[in-house]
Amino acid sequence: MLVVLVSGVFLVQNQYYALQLKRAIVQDNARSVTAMMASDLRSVAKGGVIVAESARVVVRTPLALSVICATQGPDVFVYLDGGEAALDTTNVAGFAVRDSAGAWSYYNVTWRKLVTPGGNPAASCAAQGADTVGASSDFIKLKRLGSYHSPAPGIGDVLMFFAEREYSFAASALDSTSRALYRGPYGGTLVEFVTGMDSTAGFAYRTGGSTYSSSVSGPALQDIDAIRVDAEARTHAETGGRSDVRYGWSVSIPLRNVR
Amino acid sequence: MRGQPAGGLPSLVAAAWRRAAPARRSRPGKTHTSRGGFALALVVLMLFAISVAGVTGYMVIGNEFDLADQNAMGYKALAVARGGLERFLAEQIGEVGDSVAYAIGDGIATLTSRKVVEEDSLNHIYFIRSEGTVTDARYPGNPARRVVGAYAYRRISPVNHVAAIMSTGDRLDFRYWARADGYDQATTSDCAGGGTAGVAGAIAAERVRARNGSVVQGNPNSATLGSYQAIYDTAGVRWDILSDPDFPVEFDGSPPNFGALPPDSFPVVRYVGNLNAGSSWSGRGVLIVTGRLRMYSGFSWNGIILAGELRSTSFQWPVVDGTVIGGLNVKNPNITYSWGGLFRYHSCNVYAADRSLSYLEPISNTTWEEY
Repeated sequence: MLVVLVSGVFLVQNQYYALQLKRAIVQDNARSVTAMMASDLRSVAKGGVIVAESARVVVRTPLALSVICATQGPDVFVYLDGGEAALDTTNVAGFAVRDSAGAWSYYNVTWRKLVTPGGNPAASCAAQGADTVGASSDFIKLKRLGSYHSPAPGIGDVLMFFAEREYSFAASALDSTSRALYRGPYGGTLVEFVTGMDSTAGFAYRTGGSTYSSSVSGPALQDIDAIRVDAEARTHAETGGRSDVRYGWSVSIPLRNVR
Repeated sequence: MRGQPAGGLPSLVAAAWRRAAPARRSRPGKTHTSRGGFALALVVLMLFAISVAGVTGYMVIGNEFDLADQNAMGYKALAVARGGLERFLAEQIGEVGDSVAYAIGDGIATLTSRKVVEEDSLNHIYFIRSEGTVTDARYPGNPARRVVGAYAYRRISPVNHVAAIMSTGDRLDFRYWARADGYDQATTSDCAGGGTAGVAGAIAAERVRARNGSVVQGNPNSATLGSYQAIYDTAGVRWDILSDPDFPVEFDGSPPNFGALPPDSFPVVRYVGNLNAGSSWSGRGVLIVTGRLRMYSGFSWNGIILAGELRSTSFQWPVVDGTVIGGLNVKNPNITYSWGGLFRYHSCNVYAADRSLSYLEPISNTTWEEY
């Protein structure tokens, strides 16, 4: 009887511990989804959403913004906070040019094709009034932007260097009984980022007003000004006969650079 | 008998002793063998199990709390960084400082700015970087940190040069030697941009008139713009901000000792309320009067005067070398300057004072979060 009593106590205690652990896991899953996505999505500019589906979203995430401070023939010198070293150049999928109304034109080109050595970027920009003290490496040279954008960007124009990131909810490779959030470069290999998502997890899109749509396509992609992430997490209970442990929340992420 | 009280006890006591004695001897034996050991072990085990459950539960909840707390700290740091950026852009006036730190909520926003390019002489582009940090007292060496950046124009000369004196009221009259002169009193020897073609002598909504020996001249002599709103928009003054008592300016309530300032310093001086300006208010820079301004003899000003309302004067000789803009609160009452009053446009004084009003205007859609 003593053994039964002790076993019973430990069994109940173990179930309690397992349940708490499961709850913590599903909450962490939901939180991870929204925290990472919020950082990536918040700075997306107008026209920066490429794909908007209920279980998949592809965006152009700004990695850095810079301003043209001098020109040299077809090439330009720009200011980039922290310089090239501070930029994740391998993930640069292209650049965008901001027009006077605040709209962006996007061009896909690798960083290696954009940047070029030569000249004296800091001195050239200093001649245009730039403060280059202690930041000479923050000024770099880009070549022939006019071959992408017409008219060729000039002094004072703002450029964006962006990464194309894809998020999608799909069956988990790590746990075949659940779904997962995958993240990675658009068109590249996606990595399972968060496991343990429910089939109800997904995205919704606002195109002005207050209503959200589960998918948006065509010209309306330009109008997306907020993305809602329904982070529904789910995991199996430790013992059979019990309901799955579920937790979820919805976070609406306004795109700050869409105005 | 062992344990029995010695000698001649009453029988009643002796009998009681016999009844009690076996009980005292037998109780310890029964407790050790059948009940006491089992209960003690069970209690110890139960306490152990409860302790383990409590500790594990505490650990799980504690870990979860820490994770949630760290996540919240990250969001706080982002909010602090954003708040710092907004505050810097909103409060900036005059020369742009290299760095500043604000205490916001539980965190600190550290702002740095860098001029990136001078697009032209009146519009410079700055990069503003705001780093928000929130420190957890438990881990002071590892604060949550988020960085946001943005670009902004610095509008060097926000107040437009349009007249020696301008009132939003319907009528602006000059009589008996009062004078409004829009021709530039400055030359290139005063400043590089001096010697301009000048501006209008006076501007009002419906009528500007000079009589009885008074003079209104300039390029053109005078102009009428039709309405309060048209004149307000033409001035280019951020009056709602500058007149807000909460908006910080260099000198608020009283003028500085101009003799102690460098000669090229054209500070912003504000008076909240109605001001009768005499000689003690003479100086240079930008004079902001949020209420009514009446200028008296002895008062002279080099630079810009902005007033919520301008009042007529008679037999007073104020001298302004710069520009005067009045009636920014609401439509100014009709004004007459008679028997005195000299208002002359001076481009160098206006430019110098205008720089003190320069501000940062964010370039839309250029705010991003650094990784």
